[in-house]
Amino acid sequence: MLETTDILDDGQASARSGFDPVSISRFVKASGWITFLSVLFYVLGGIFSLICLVSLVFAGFAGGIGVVGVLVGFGIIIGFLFVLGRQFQNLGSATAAFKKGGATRQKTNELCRSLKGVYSTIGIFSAIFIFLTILQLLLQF
Amino acid sequence: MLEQQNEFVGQDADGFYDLDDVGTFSAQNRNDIKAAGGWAFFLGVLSVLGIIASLLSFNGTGRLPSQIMGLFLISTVMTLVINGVIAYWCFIFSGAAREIGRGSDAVGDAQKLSGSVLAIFRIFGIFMVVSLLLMLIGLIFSLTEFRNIF
Repeated sequence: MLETTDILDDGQASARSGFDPVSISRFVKASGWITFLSVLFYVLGGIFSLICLVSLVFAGFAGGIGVVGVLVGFGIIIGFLFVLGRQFQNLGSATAAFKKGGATRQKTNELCRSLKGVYSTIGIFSAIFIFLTILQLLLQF
Repeated sequence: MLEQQNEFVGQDADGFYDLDDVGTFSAQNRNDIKAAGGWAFFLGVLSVLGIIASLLSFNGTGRLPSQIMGLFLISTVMTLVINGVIAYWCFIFSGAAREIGRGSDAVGDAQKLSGSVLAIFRIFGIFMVVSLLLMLIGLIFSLTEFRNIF
């Protein structure tokens, strides 16, 4: 039975998925920062959840409208942080997977999918925040 | 062992390579990269709008007290630099992604893509660390002031 390494070494295998060894080493370097960002967003999501709970208690004393406002406002922020944390986690594991065995089809698929996930999540939530800011400005006038 | 071999791009069940397939992204990969590039372009445009908003915020700052003016200048310059760098790398990423989406197999495009991913997330990470540190310092100062009042 032929070993994979008999046919291709790591560098050649990497080139065969569209990513050359230089690109792969850059993705591997980026994986540390991406994982850090993932953990950071999860932690921030947890902190905001606690703040939301405390605010809910105070809003409960203040009245019914405050509770809805707190839930909507914090819900968007907490949702954004946890979803972004998850997407960064996917991208981090996809980039870190390149460390061993070069770029396989499966790893490349995961990387491309998670890249789309991260950028689309940031883009969609940015659009929501901008829409809400414009709405708030319009309501003020 | 065969399963492991089949994992590599362009390799069929018998372990042979189709030379027309190797060295390229799959159609799905190209679609994903293209979509990511589209969103990156949108984020780049937002960063440019952020730069314009920061520049406009300088208007009428002369009336601010000197203590607040220093803080305002630091935060505005920081926002300008971060937005500028992120916009630059987002446009580089979207350009490379557009080329790959169109069917390019050039090594340069893949390197631009990976380089911009590394640059964007490194800068984003550093920015987050600096922001959190500044927030922490601000919180400590606020608590100290709070203790002094009571």
